Amino acid sequence: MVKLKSNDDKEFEVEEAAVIQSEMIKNMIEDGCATSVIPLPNIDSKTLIKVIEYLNKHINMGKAAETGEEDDLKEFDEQFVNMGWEELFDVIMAANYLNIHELMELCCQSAADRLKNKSVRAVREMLKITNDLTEEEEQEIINDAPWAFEGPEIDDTVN
Amino acid sequence: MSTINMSTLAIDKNTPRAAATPVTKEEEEEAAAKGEVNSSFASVLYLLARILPVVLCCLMESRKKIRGAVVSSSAVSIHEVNLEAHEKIIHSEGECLINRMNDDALIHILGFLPIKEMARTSVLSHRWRYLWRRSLIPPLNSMEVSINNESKHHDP
Repeated sequence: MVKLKSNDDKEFEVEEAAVIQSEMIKNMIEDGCATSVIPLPNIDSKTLIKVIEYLNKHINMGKAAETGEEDDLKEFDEQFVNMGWEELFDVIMAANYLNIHELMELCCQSAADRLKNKSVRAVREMLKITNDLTEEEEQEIINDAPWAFEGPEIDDTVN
Repeated sequence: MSTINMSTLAIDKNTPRAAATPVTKEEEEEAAAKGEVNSSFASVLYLLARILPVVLCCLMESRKKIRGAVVSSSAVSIHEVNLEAHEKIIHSEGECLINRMNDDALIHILGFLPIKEMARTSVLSHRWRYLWRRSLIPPLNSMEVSINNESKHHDP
């Protein structure tokens, strides 16, 4: 068992087979640096719980194809990314930090799917981005690649 | 916005005088100088209003624990400047959500989008302007990494 500590001082015990899906922790274990608790100063407990949930489910991912659990895993992944933007960003940052390739791919794909075909206005609203460009700058960017800003598929709704 | 307001104010002040007595050259110059001072003061205020939310954003990043306190004290000082800035502070708080993400993670997300969608993100804000172009360029060491991984897998 490996002990992980979130930045709000909560400890979690995770099976080594699960936790080595994180390249970062795998390297630490291999280098003998994971003898006691591994502190994770960038990750809060709420996010860490989500990450551990993912790691535990994907523990036997390599064997999923053999045991016919592939569909089950796919369903789990679909449910897993069903979260708000803030939570999704937290998990992406954690996956990036812990270097969990599959989780990073899953969450970034989900983020991209949500942004696909959305209008500039809709994306700004969804991600709460403040437009700090002047009108001239904005026009200049649009003139650089006008093809990117027109098309019947562009969706202005926020969901 | 503030600049316009302040200069209108300066004109208002001068108009009654101009109607009552003919304006001499000196007076005109003085008034112009006054207007200049007023508008530069307004632009300083405007700048301050723009910078404060950013500073606040950074503060909240580093001091999450006293987040509530920071927001309330800064919100009061901003409110004294003007209402527009107060709106900005609310936006900037939300903006922190995306600002927490580092460029690498955002570029990774962009990598999953078709090129048309990627290009459209260039107009979101200054930060996003050139971000998508970086997702078109694979990292220099990616080839090396994939070769290494492959050889690792093939090794018994």
